[in-house]
Amino acid sequence: MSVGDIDTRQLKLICLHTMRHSLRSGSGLVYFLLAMFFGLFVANAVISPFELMVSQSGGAGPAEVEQGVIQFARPIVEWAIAGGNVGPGTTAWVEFLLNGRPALLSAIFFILLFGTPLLIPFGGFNQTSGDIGNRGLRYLLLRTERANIYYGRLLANIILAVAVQILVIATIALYLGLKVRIYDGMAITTWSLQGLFALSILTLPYVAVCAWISASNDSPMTSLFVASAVIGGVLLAAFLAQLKWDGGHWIGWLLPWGVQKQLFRPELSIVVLTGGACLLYTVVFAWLGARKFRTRDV
Amino acid sequence: MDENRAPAVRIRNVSKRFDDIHALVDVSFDVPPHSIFGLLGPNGAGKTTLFSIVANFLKADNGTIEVLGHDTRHTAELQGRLSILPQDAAFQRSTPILEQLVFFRTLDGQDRASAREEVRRTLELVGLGDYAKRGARALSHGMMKRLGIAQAFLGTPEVILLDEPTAGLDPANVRQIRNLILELRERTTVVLSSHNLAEIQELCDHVAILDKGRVVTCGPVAELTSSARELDLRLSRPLDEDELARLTSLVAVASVDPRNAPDYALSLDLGEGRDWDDAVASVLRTLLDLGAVPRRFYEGQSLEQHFLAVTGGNGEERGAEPTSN
Repeated sequence: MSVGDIDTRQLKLICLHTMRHSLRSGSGLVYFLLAMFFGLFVANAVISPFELMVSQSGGAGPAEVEQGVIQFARPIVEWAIAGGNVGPGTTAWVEFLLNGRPALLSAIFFILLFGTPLLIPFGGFNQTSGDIGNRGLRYLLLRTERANIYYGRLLANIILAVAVQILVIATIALYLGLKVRIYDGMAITTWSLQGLFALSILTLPYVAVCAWISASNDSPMTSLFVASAVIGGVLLAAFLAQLKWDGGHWIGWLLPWGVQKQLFRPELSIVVLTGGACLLYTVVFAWLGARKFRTRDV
Repeated sequence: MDENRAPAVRIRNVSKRFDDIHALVDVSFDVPPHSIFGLLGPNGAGKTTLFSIVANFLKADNGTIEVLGHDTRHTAELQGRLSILPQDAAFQRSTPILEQLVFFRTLDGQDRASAREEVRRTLELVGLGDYAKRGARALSHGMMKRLGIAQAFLGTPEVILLDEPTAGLDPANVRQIRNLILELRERTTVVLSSHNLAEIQELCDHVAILDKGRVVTCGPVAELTSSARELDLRLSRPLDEDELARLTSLVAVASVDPRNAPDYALSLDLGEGRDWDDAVASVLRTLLDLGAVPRRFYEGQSLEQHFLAVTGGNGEERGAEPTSN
């Protein structure tokens, strides 16, 4: 299955049909609601205590409020970046996220950065496995190349996952801008767009992993279990290994876990490089899945 | 290569294993163009596996398959020219069937408006016009089968593979589907599998019989069913033992199989100097003398007899295989 097999017209048709079917059948809708719920729950968990703090502090001035926000968001950001042990190499980064950018948004982004990959399997587990199992793909195989089916469905899943990110981040940004009103609109907009870029590009490799797993077996439930176990398992294994020896964190590099927080670095070059790494992960996982799908019996 | 003269389907040395089971062993045969070709075999003979390999659902371990001169592993050249009714393949349960079939046609390259028109027409043809806007979950097993047939008939495929097209259908629909298949003969090559041997004999001009993954017979139906001196008779009543003995005592009659009375299968002994017409005439004369009137008369082997002879099957085994009608 090479890029030469891909027919862009058929790819687009398959992508659109998959998105419609995904929402209609309920599986896409479940993911959509789950991801929305998670995103808004995280936002609420971060913003509500701050709002309570402000309301209890009476007539605090803008400078005090801002300091209060930073103090509130600091432990979340420090833990996400350095496991709570901020050293010389990470101080500037932490200060950039807390003082240089809207701190509340930074805290929310870091929680989403760790939570989103764990949610992706719920949207991406059934890209092909269900239709391999019930042989539904057989109606398509004489009408298009396998590459179009595989990549069309992968694309549909990516679009749905990114659409959810857009909705979640737009909702949070609007709430911060219109209700909380501690940051100016431009700061919220630019940081939200960068957060959206980071979370969207992070979505790609995890959806691609799910596509690979989905193409490798014919049971949607097995796909969901394996995808969740792989994505969560790598994070857990890296964490546990790190407790035993210093190099344990390299296990996280099996998936983008090892690099993904770099998407929120102050240096643009590192952000771009990390985005490139996520794309590379995506290409590798998508290719492995496509190779499996091309050669397997369906 | 001139596609009008070349085989529509050319199968060469195809083998397929599932773990330690040999599903197909060195299968080779040609399907002539514009023929209705029957693929027969007991359960597990490898018919569906062979269809699946032709349609590129499964990968053969060895061998090659060409449809209309193109290797089936490269489906791009065959898009719109080869279609299939796969066995037990599911449609999407919640997407309206009209939308699913329109999607198939747009993949084939048709625009949405004319695709909708064609799909509506085809759904009417198979009696599913009223269900166009409903999902597959609203359909019974028989309706699902008709939907599968509808999608196989969409467009103008030059080769259609139908894996047990009439299984699970009621008699009226069976007749309708058979008529549709017969109408296709002019412009299409149809390869179909069925457990219903009478159906195959009625529809097909060529047949291949698979047994345990191997081709045991292949050729024109007329040739296969006249390759031995057999006479199938259905009489107005069963014969008693004396009458049976009298029939068997005829010089031209080697044996009589009375197990399905009043259907009798006679083997005729055409010894030196004996004429086939004379032998048949003596049998018919004797029966008329006995007052047992032949209601059906068939010279040569029926496909069923040939099938049983080459596969070593028997009536009991056949009874265990449900036929569609």
